[in-house]
Amino acid sequence: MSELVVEGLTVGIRGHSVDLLRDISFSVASGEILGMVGESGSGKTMAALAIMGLLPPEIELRAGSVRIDNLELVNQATMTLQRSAHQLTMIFQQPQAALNPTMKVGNQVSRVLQMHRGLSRAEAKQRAVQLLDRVGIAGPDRVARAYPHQLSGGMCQRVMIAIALACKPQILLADEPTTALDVTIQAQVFDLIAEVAREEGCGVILITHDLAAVSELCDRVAVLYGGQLMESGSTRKVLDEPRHPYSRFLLDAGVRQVDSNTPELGVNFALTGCRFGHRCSRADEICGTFPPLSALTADRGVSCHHPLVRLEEFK
Amino acid sequence: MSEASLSRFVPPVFSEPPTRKSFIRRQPMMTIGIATIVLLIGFAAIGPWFVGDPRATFPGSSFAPPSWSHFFGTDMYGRDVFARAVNAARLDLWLGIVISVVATIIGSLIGLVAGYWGGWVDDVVMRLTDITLAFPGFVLAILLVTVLGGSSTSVAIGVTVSFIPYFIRLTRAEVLGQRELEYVDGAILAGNSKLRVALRHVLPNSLKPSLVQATLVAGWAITTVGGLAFLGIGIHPPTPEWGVMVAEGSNDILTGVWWTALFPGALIVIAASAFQFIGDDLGSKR
Repeated sequence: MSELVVEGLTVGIRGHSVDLLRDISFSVASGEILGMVGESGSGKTMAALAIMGLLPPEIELRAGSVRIDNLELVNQATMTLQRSAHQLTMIFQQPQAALNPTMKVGNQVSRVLQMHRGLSRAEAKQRAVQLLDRVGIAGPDRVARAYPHQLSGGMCQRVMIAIALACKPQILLADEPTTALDVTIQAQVFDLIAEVAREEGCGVILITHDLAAVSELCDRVAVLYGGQLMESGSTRKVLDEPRHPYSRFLLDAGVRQVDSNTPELGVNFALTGCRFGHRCSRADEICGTFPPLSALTADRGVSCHHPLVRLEEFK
Repeated sequence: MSEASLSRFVPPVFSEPPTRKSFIRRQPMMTIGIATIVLLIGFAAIGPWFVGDPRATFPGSSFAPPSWSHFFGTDMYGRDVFARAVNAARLDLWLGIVISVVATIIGSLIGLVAGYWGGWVDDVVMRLTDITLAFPGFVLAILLVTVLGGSSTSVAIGVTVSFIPYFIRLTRAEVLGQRELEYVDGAILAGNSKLRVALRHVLPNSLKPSLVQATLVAGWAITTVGGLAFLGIGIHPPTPEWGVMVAEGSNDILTGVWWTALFPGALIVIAASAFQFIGDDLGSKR
């Protein structure tokens, strides 16, 4: 039973004091799908890049621990992250940009197989075709000989999933895997990812805007805003009974235009306070200090000084 | 792993490869260029076995005008201009192609290193490139060939070095763009080494501008080699070389003997323009 545990992940721009991600903690067990939701700029992708060790050079990991099966991936002395493709791998947002345009897709899959499974060139080729078939590509032997520009976005995303599977990862990170795809393909790709997670027994972190997909697929949800983890817990609980004002706000955003009557407080929330403070109707002076993630139940946490408590507030 | 999966796509229909006819119609200049180069290379490859000795002099038959026995006439020593031009084609085309291929390989690799590794390596390489580019290419080639001495090898080295900075620039600029794309991150994530990502993923995707440039440079290299020889730098008489022949023949024009300079000069123009045609079409399409 492998498990990814992220604790106190803090990321910032070199030479600036403001944190882009502040004290983010979550965990994913194998076979489990964690949905990571939040609006644009909330730090979802930044969190993904930090966990993958792909942060751009001007952005530094300031604190935090990323463990897989209690194996620490972050070198605490240098604050760099070392991971192997067996542990963590990733599916990108733009499938066509994520494949090498000058290499046949079959070779891109078989190359990974050669590297990670120690297969010979011929075995890897054969195995690559099987993998392409596995991710639902019809005529896999023909598609294996095609270049990425000859394939549709949905097929490219399937190829990406095949490449990810070739690594046999413990944790698969999918960063908005369907954003660039046609709506008719989105459901298929989501289903494929869920099926893969179930059958391969790998944990999945699914970053998405799509709350409907989250409610269908994900076992647990983490809500991010402004680089702060607002709320996490089982999908059912978080979506039905959000305890954080922002979760409520996010869920309502799809239904109606929300105007927040924010009290004028003159507090700089971004530096020290709750990141949602300047848009929150419940904010007061105490929100000028950072609200730690407090556990409500065993797997439910909320980072708010004034969480929603009464049942009528959930609606 | 199970065979079944939830959903399947309709197989894509790949477009038919373009036919020969449509290629000619779409890219007439490139067709002309390629045909000319193939023809010239054919001449250069097999021609020398069919023509006489390019260095044999016949003092009795100097300045014979073009005729069936001497297609391009003879020069002041009675040497057959056609025999010399055909032998020169071998040297000039060989130099043009080798110079452009070697400059492309070396320049692209240096550009890849500078662009992909960045940092101080990039700074050092690019400042050196800037310094080299501050000299006009021809002047730099004169300088290098003078230092290296007069042989076709030193001409090849000198001209190659003067063209390398262009390829460094082009490849580096392209690498800077390519290395930010997601497939590079993907390749890193899949566990490829940095060297492998650079050579197998970034380089092939950054080569296009350099390959276009390479065809142009092949043409420029021929004119540069010829130009140097015309000025008496590098390749010397009596070596059959187009530039040498134009230099020797240029004195004869005043006396009405036009064929000794015209034919080798025309061949330089034809060869250089043929490469230019290919490069232009490659650069403008797609």
